[in-house]
Amino acid sequence: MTRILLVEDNDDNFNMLERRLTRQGFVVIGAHDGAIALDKAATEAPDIVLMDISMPVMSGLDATRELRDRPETRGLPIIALTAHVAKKDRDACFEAGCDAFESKPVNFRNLMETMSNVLAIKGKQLTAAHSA
Amino acid sequence: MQNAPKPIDRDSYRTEIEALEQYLQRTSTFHAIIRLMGIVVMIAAVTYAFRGHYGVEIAIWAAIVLGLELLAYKRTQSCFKKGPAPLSEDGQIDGKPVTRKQVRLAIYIEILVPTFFMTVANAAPSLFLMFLPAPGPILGFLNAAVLMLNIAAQHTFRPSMPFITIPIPAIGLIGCAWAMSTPENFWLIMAIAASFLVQTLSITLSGVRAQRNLVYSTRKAENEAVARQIADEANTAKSVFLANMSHELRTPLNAIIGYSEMMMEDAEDEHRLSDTADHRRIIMAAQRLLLNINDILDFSKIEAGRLDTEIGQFDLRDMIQDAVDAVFPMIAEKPVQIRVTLPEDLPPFWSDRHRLEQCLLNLLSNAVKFTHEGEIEVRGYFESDSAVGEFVLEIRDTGIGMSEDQLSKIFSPFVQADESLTREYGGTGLGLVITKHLMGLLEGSIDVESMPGKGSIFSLKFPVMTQSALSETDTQTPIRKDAPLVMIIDDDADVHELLSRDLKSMGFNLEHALSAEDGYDKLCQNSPSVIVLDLHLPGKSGYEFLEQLKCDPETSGIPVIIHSADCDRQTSIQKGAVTCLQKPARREDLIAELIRYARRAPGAETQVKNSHSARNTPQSKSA
Repeated sequence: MTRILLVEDNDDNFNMLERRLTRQGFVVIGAHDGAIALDKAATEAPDIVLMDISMPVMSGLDATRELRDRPETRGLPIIALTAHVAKKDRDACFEAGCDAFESKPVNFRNLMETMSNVLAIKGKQLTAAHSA
Repeated sequence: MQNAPKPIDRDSYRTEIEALEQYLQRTSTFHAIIRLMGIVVMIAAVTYAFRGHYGVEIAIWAAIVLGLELLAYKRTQSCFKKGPAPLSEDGQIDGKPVTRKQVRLAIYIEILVPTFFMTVANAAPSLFLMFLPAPGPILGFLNAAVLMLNIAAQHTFRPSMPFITIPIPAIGLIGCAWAMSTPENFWLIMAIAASFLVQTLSITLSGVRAQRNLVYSTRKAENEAVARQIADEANTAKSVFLANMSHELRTPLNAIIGYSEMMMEDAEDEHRLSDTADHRRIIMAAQRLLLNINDILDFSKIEAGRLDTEIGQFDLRDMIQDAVDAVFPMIAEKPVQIRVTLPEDLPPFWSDRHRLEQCLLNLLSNAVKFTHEGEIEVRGYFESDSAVGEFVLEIRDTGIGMSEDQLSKIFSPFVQADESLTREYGGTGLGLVITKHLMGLLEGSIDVESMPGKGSIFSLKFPVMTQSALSETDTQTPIRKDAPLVMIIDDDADVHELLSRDLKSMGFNLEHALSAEDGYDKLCQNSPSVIVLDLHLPGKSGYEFLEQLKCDPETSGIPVIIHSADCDRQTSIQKGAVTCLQKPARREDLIAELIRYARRAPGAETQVKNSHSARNTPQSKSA
């Protein structure tokens, strides 16, 4: 089962995504800001990260850079998931080290595709338990 | 009772003070020295002319004049040092309200009084000399004339100033002229004196105008600079605000759409049909809201000139399918079909997928909105079969159509074809404006034909670079003659090898040169559509080559893309390159630039044909 680290500070969006992903049969690990995400990435061994960008304490961009700096998480697939959609925001995400970019409001089907593509590049598969 | 006079505002006060300062600067030390020299020469001349006579009188006169000059100079200097009296917020100086008129008068008196006395002191000798025997009147005449010149150069603070100061020297001038004249030349001498007087006045008055213009133009330039800065700041603030707003609107929409989709899935699973339909309506409304938000944001970007494009490779069929999928729910309850007709073997496209999809979506959602029954057809075809071809996407509907009058308005912002349509169909009225602008950015165009009651045909025409299926397998295959010729000038054979594989497969013809000299020779035989230029070359450098190219009118029109390890964008563009790519450039970036410029080159046979349709000038890419 693919373990997804969902980094999102907005409660509604976190709750919604967590439930949708869980229903698809993924294991969701939650983090409400970038700093928590760094801890969880180290302890919970996620397969992929869905990273919000504007968050308190530590932004998604900083968290992504930090993850890229650490040898154990250097290859961890990270998908930026943000409501900042301007080209420069997108470029900033890629510059920080994100593998892909999905805009909010999330198109769930596209998100699934992107996750699967990003994992495929790393030689992994998106796997879910039997969906509810 | 009359209204109380309005106290002076800070801005006007500053203008008045600045006018004073500028005047003082102009008439300060340098002029004082010149004046002083004039006086000394005059004293010397008079003393010499009347050797042994009037010694005491001349000494007294010299003392008075020099004293007055010194006094005026010190006063001006102290005025400078003290600076203007501070003006309070509500227009008071020393606790008393002052009007602009009062300020102007006070400043004027400040200047006029010393100037007047100095003029009198300077003119005094002429008044006496005219009564003395020769050469008295001639010296007096010269003294008055010199003084007049001084006045013409300096007494320019207000238009009335020369009229107050000139009379005294004028009396001296006329008097001396009269005294030195003989009955034979009386009128001649008087005419000369009068003409001198009139000219002094006219020069002074034009000096007044120049002085005033100087003050106002300085002021205006300052105000404009301030206004520009304010506008820039406001623009930045607006962009930041819009970016934040976009974020703040999208974040809750994410939750709305996400939860609704989840609930709709539940309802579908449990076969609750009416709930499913309700959830679908919520989702559609939210999607509509999202589109409106995007429209408004895009429109603001268009206004700020910040909308840009990103060219990449994509599958057109996919793109069209996505757009059709997006509007599909809107026809679920109408007897309307959507049909897509595309050429069988559609190659991968190079253009801006996102922007094209946005245009198509705008047109499709209009078509869906205004069509109540019948069919909407999306038809795509190549207009020409050259490598850089024009592709046309037609969106044909059987909707309500538009009249000539309505057609003329649809590309104007905020205007829908008819106000009653807004009431019936809603919409921001920005969709077509944005579409037209985007097509301009993509170097394409949008056309429309329509008949009321019959339907409308919108067609998007845009340039695409297609990867020819044939040349993909065999790069040696001779390619079409009409393909744009790209010249690569680089001393690194690997770069040639790498680029030629990519570019040939894209359908470009190539010419290789290993040095600037080599490039120039080949250039003369066969003019390329675009040049990719390295900067570090053996012999002549890339910049030197560029200069040579730009000097020759035959070749100055060929766009040059700098491709170098240390490209400096600003220098490159200053020297005449169209853009600059850091080596090694991403394949997509280089191809995107080549497509952009190969099409624009005047020599290219595949140049954009000018149609009478709505075409915008492309905006330069901006951050």
